[in-house]
Amino acid sequence: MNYIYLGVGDLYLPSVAAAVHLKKIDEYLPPDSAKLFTIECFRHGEKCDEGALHYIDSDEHGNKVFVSCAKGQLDVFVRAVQSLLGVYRIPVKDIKVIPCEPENPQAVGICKALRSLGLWQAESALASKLAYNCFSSLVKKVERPTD
Amino acid sequence: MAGKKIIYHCYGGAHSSVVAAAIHLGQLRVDKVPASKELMALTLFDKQTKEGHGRLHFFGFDEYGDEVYSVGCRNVGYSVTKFLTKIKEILNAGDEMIFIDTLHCVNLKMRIGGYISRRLGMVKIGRPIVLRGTREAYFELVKLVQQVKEGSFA
Repeated sequence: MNYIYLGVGDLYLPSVAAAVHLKKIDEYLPPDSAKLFTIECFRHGEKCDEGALHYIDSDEHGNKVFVSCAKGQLDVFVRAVQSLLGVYRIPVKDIKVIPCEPENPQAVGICKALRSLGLWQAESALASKLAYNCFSSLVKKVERPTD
Repeated sequence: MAGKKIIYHCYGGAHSSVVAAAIHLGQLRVDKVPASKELMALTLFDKQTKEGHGRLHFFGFDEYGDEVYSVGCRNVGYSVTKFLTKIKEILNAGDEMIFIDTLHCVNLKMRIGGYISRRLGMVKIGRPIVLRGTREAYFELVKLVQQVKEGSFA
């Protein structure tokens, strides 16, 4: 099975969700800023990242975990993938797209604004705060197959 | 015999992509602008809702055995096509998939009429506008479909 964690505008939240899935961070303990920036792909999203799939690793069951991002409309992506599976007659369980949207989507825009102003440290601080605050909801979103 | 999958996409999946798919399958003539009744007889024309965005709608097989679809991708058409292409590679799914963006054929009347009809739900006002706009843009869509059939978009 393939899991794709899909973020809005950046890869911060999907990369944290992927790290929880792969047990690279403790799901019971929200990571601090230093730990967050060691997570693979914990960064802002570039234009080339929109719709692109970044392979992170495989979990203990051999399921592949990817992250991606889009500028918005995540429901369109989810439905498009479900449709694609139907078109190719591929079982639904072969791929799962999990949206990782923040509760306050304005934070994504603020991160982008800080970055465009060259305030990298402020952007990093906000991204860490966002990931920390959303951590419990991300843990709930993480999907793992049952044995 | 498996053919290609040709997917016309636009913003709402209700107007230009639907008409392009119909032209491709010969449901609309290429030498004559269709009447409004003919456009309204098309499945999905000015009927798509936002819950349908992202769903690939199968229209039929063309003369080469290729499957023709339409889909509404809102303003993330490019990202969706890239995403689906990557997923198809991961899953090693067979047939070639070709995405054609019909948005560049959409004129102002289609945008305004489509918005009023689909987004605002004011069908009686929006539909006549979008129909007129579609008829004005019709030959642009015909040209696009002909390019697709000639393989220029492969």
